[in-house]
Order: sequence, then C-alpha cells, then structure tokens
Amino acid sequence: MIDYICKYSPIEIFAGFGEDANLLNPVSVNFEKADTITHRNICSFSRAVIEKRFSEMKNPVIFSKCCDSLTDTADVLENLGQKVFILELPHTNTHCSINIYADELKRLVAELEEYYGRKFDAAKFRGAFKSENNSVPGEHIALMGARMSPEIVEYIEKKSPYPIRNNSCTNLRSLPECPDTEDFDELMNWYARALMNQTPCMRMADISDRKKIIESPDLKGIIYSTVSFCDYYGFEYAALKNLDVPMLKIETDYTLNTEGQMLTRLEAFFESMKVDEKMEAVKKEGYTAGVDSGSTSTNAVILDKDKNIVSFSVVPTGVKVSDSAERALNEAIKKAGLNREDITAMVSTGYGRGKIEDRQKDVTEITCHAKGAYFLNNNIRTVIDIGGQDSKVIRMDENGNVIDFAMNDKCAAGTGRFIEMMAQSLGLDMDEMSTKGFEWNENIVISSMCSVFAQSEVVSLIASDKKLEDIVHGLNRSVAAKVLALGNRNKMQTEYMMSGGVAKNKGVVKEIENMLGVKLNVPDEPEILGALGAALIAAEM
Amino acid sequence: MGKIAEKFGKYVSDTVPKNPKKIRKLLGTAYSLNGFYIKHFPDKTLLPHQQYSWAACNDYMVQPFKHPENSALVNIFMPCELFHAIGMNFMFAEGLAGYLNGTHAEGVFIDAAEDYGVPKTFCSYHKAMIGAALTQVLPKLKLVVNTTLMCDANNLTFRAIAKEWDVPHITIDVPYGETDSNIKYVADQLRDFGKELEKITGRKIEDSKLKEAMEHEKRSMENLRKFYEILPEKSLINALTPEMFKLFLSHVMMGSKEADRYFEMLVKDTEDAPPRGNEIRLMWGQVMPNWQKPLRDIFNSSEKYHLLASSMNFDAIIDVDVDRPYETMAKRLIANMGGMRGTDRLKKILEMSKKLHADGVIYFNHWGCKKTSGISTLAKNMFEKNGLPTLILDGDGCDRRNVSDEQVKTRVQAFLEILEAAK
Repeated sequence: MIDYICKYSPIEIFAGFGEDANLLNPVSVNFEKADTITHRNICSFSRAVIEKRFSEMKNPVIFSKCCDSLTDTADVLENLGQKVFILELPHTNTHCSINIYADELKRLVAELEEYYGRKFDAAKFRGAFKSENNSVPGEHIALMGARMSPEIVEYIEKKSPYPIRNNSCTNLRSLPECPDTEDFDELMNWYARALMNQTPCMRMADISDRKKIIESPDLKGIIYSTVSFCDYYGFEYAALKNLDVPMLKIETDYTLNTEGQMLTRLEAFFESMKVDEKMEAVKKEGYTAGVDSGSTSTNAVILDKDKNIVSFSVVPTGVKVSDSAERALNEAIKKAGLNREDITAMVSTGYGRGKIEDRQKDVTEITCHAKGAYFLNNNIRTVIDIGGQDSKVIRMDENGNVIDFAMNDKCAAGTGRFIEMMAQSLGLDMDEMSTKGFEWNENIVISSMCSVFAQSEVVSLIASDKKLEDIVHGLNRSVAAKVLALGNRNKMQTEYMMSGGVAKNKGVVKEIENMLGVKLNVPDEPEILGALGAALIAAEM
Repeated sequence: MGKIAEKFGKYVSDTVPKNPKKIRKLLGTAYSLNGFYIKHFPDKTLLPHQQYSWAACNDYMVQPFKHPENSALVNIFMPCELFHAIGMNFMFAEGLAGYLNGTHAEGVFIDAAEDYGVPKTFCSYHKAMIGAALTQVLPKLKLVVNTTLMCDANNLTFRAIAKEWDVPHITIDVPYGETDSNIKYVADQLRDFGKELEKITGRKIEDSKLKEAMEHEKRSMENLRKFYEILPEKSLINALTPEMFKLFLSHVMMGSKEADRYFEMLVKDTEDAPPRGNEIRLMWGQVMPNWQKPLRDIFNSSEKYHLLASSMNFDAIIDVDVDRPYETMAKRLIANMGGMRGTDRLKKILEMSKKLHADGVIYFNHWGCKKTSGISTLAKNMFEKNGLPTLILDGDGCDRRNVSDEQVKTRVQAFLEILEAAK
C-alpha cells in the first residue's frame, strides 16, 4: 500500500508493483506532534498529514513537488525516518515538460524496483486504469477549491438541495484508458501526458481549462473550499466572486474544531437557496418566539400575531445551553404577561440552536440576522454582526434574502471576546472601553493579528506610557478593520445595520463608520436581532 | 527622517483610495529625490560598495514609474539579461515592497490586496505589489514575466496582475537539477520569451548587446565567487539594507553594468577589510526585514555583530558561458538552491556558514513564506547538531503591522548573548 496526496501522483505505477494506493486526507484533533517538527504557518492539511503519520507510518508515501507546504512535509517525514518518494512536477504541459515528467516516472519505476525487490508489471499497470463515469448529470452544486475532509463532503451531500459534483483539488483526478502497448518508454510518455492533461489545479501555469467547471448551465451554486495557510485557491475564489451563481466559501484548518462553525455556514447557504419556498409560508395567528443561543448571551423575543415585539430578554449563557434558553424564554414570556402555552411556535438560532428543546425549527443566525434587520428597516443591505466569539458580515438583496456572507475563523481577533480581553488588560469596564477612545491624540496601530499577541502588545504599550485613550482608539480601529476586511469592503452596500453585543461599543461603531464613510443603523437592542429574526420565521411557519 | 517617512506614509495611505495617480506621481518623485540625495550625500557609515548599491538599486526602482511603457513586471529570480540587452526596465516584488515599506506606506497596499481576496496568509511582499497594481499606484507595465522558481507565490501573483492589467504574461517553468534535458527545457523557454519580447517591444535583441550583458555577468559571478573565498578570513562590516540590495544585484540586476561594478567594489572593500577578529559572525537564512528598527540598531555598521550573508545571496553561483547566453541563464535557474529539496538547501546554508566561520545562524521565517517556515525546525536541528547555534525568528520582511519590535529585539538580543558567552 502506498499513501498519496496529489492527483498528479502516478498511483497506477504502484499497481504495477501490486500495491494499492490510499488517498491521505486526515483530520486531526490538534497538531500537538506536528508542531514540534514543523511550523504552524504552513498549510493545515500538511500539518494534519504530519500529525497522522507520527502515529501511523506503515506505508511509504509519494509526493510531487506540488506546493511549498507539501514539499516541506516530504522533508519533515523523511527526517522522521519515513520512506518518501518525491517527483519533480512541471508547471506546464508542453511537449518538453511532458518528456521531463516521463523521465521522472521512469526514475520512479527504477527506484521502486529496487525498493520492492521486484520487477514492474506493465499488465498490472494497464489494468489499473478504470473507466469510471462519476459525473453527476443535471442541476448540481459544484464543490471547488482545495481538498475537503470526507466528513464535510458527506455532510454536504446529505444536506444539499441539489446533487453535488465534487470538483475539489484531489477529486478532479481522471485519466483516459491506457493504450495497449508493451513499449515501456511509450507507455510512460503516454502516462505523463495523461497525468499532465488533467483539469489543471491552481499551481499549474495555464489554468484556462478550469473554466469548464463553472460553465455548465446546470450549475446552481458553488461551495468553495480553502485550507488555512494554503494560498492557491484563495486567488481563484477572489476571481470567481462576481459570478452570477450563489457561492459559499468555507475554510478548514483540518481540525475537528472548525466543523461546528462550518456546518452553520453550510446550513445557512442551503437555506438561502430555498428562499422562494420560505416566502410562500402562510401567516398564522398567536404569539411566536425566537431564541438566539450565543456564546456570551442567550436572547429571546416574543411577537404577537401582527409581528409586533411584545417583549424580549437577554440573559448570560451558562454552562448548559438548554437551561439558558429556558431562562431567556421564560423571562420574555413573563415580561409579556403571557403563559408558555400562548406561544404557538418557537424557532431557535445561534450556536446552541440544536440543543434547545421545544423548538419547531432551528435556523442559522445568518438567516435570522438578515431577517431581523430587514424587518426593522427594509433599506438594509449589509448587516455587520459582532458577537462574543464571532463576527459576521451578511449581504442581502432588495427582498431581504441573504446573497452572501462571511464569518471570522476561529480566531477571536475582532470579536467581543477580544474587546473583553483588552479591557481586562487595560483595567477598564465595558462602558469605559466604549467611550475612552474618543479622546485620542496619537494614532497607535495595534499590529498583532492574534488576540493573544495583541494582548501582550497592549501590555507593552502600557509599559511604554502610552495614553489609555490612544490604546483604546487603536484597538477600536483594529476591530473595525478586521470586520471590514472580513466582509470585503468593496462589495458591502448601504444601508448598514450593526448588531451583536459589540454594537453597544460606541468607539467601535464610530471607527467602522469612519472607515466606511457612512452612518450605521444601530437598533436600540442590537443583541436581539437574531432572536427577532427567529421569531419572525416562527410567525411565518 | 523616520518621523518624516511616517507622515509621508500616512499621507500616502489616506490619499491612495481617493487619488492613486497622484500617489504614483508622488512616489516616482520621492524615489527620484531619494536617488539624488543618496548619490550626493551618501551614508558615510557604509562602505563604498554599499553606498553604490543603494544608488544603483534606487535608479532601477524609479524607471518603471517614469517609463511604464518600457518596463516589465518580473519576479526576483527572473534572469533579466534580455531586458538589459534590449534596454527595458523592470519592477519586482521584493524591490517595490521594500520601497513602499521604506516610505511607511505598505499597509494600504496590503489591505487593498486583501480586500480583493488575496489570502491574509500570503507573502506580504507579494501582497504589497498586488495592492500597488490593483490601486494603479504601480502603473500598468508592458508585460508580466515570472519563473516558477522558487515559491508558490510566483505562480499566483503574476498571473493575477497580468489578468487585471490585461497584458501579456509569460511563465518560465523551472525544474530543479542540472541535467541536459532540464537545461534545454528552460533555455528553450527563454529563447521563446526572447522572441516574444522582440514582438512586444518591436525591437531586436542585438547579439552584441546580449554578449555585453553576459560579459558583465561573467565578471560579476567571478567576483561574487571570489568574495566568498576572501570573506572567511576578513572582518567586513555590513548592514541590513545593503545586504538586501545585494540580493537585487545578484539576481535581477545580474548582467548589468551596475552589477559588474558593484561586485568589483565588493571584492575590493573585502580585500581592504581587516582580518577576521573577535566579532560575532552571523549567517542570515532567507530574506531580511531590513526595515525593522531593533535589527538595524543591532546590526547596521556594527563592529561587534557581523552579518556575513543572506543565504539568498549565494543561491546560484555558476560558471558563465558568454557564448551560450540562454543555456547560462537556464543554468542559473535550475542550479538555484531555491529549487532544491529543503534538506539539501539547509545543507548548503550549513556548508557556507562553516566556510565563513559563522558563530550562529538567524533563520528568518518571513510571513507567508511556507517554503522557509515548513523546514525551520529541521534547520535548527541540523545546524545545532553541527555546532551552529540557531535562532528561528518569525517576522515580516515587509508589513510592519505584523510584527512587534519588542519581541524581535528580545529574541535577537538573547541569542546574541548566548553567542557572546560561547565565544
């Protein structure tokens, strides 16, 4: 058995030695071992491969010099004493470069004959080429970009309203049938050409053939995958952003930790594709409730049959999500002077949405924030939501449908938690943190991208006698810059609404306004926008 | 000077979104004035070859702003002998980003690239250049040409900019290894590029001019080799920015009369330097954050701490065959250390460190450079096993917002204290 990683790897040659090929695509709990031997700033998939092979290294592994991180990975594994084969991989598929790759393949065969101690069997090699037709006919959603874990692909296939065509990195491997020749040189030349003529990945010089992936009239949407610290596919995503097809970008760090957030994004994306269905919903009489279970607070909103807000509540999220939801809901019901049985429908949203009992439905906070914002002001086209542990920018069309959104990764920079951490370092409460930055004089730039490093930077600024006002102003600017970079300033449109707990921080709001050059709409209770959206969806059920 | 640059940088950052053409003109003028200043009032703490490199590189940086219609965008590894021969200017990422950083203006361009969708984790030199091109502060140049050597960023940046500008884009694919088929493969691509260049410019690459460039290159290479033969027994004071300029001269400017003169001066200054003494001698792995104050304070013109070389300044020292220009250019590419497997690259750094009597190595992980950072732990293990204390320094060669001066200062100082104690 040989482990392989790249679609240009000549795995059929291993069949010629009677060896099966296993596609390495591991997800890690963490990179505890990998980070002792490589750097955290290489692509996460490479770190996952190193982590995996620390404990399971029985198979040799073949690499091509397909990208810098994986070429480094080959060196790291070799230094751990593992058997590694590596091939030069040209960037073009001209006559000359194909000859060079054919020479590499011949070199590999000779190396393997020595390694396995047996001869290459051309018949077995030819038998490894299977004619498979994996294409999905008709309307579909395309998976594009970098590789994805099998678990994520399975989830997408299960939840997607359309069939999935997996056109991501390694999955785009397809080769024609092998010619029936005994001539080894001829065979390797043909094989090099076949490998190099596949739909190109982004590291190839000529990527014009990748257009085929998006040209189908049956393409209903794109789920675009990137891996953190892999730069190749970020460029293609940037180039595709103006396509007239719904597109969702998901980024994985190849740990299990990102999956929860990723599933929220996927769910919201699929919800937005079923928007027409939602619009046909029929209004019913009675009171409805929405509960937003966030990382810092749990919020509830009660509406009457005419969609008037009759009450709301904001309670801190405790250890058990369902208890906090129960408390928030009961408090709102009490404030409204109602009983539990008066609530005819309840929809939950937020991180803990799946854990709230008695819900008729759970909907992502993306859809709910958009719904709530549009309800309060139908001129809103962009919602900037900064909550306790994440921030989002949601773009909507003139009917209030979500057309695009972006969420922060699992890093806390630019979130409510970041501001809390900095306030602690500065010895300020949240009210002081909100206004202190107004009286700034010196424009301090907080350089660190990471919350932990930013905290030590703030400590250094205090030690160098910088004014609190200037530091707070610098922090406000860094939060504003982070969230606007997230949303791609060029694509964000007026009017804006800001929601989430951080919308109560006047300093951050002001810096976002300064950077955008427009006023933000900040609702009186910015924390309840998600719960309001959920209650509205409940009212339309 | 620092305060003025800071104010200038702020003005640039504020004005780019509103009036990029104004900033383009302003930067062109500022770099021209800088050239005039350094030619007439050179930094007297620098050695003659270092003063010269500053002025020579500055001239190269100004031309694409002044004459975009006769300039190309290239990567630092692109052999530019054909440009020297045909009389065409060029701009490259490390140069432009370094200059933008010098005027405290890199941030606005890096932000523009990130707003466009370039990943934050991408090399900041390249992000700054993409941002400069997108904002049109870097004027649209006549063509874009790059090699695949030595990192992933080259495969992305140049294609994206050429598409934005809608100008011809040529990629020279570079495999590693000095085989006949590799030399032929790369030399043929360079020949095709030469023909394309003639078509695009409407001018001919004169054989005599190309030969002249190759003769400059032959002398430069010989002097560069000689420099590394003399340096082990010499005590040559160095500074960060001139070492970075050496990178320009030993790469894109190779084949120019300026490089020819520079390497001659380098050898002379080294010959004139006192014999090796008690200084702490340091090898620098990869690119240098020449802008960073704590590092400048420590290394610039220091008699105590000597920066021997950046490893990129000995990545391809080859024999030049004046009569076979394309094969020579091809050899310079396929023999480059940047194309080697990581472990072999590290062995070369180790070998040179030993040869130059280095006391330690600072291995610099520039933000976004996976090629460097992925093997940094291997580097430390290998160098230290061979008796060379090594500091892995994470930082950014271009984006000052991405680094904390205090952290860098503490790490480097502590490392130097270790080396001093061991001396």
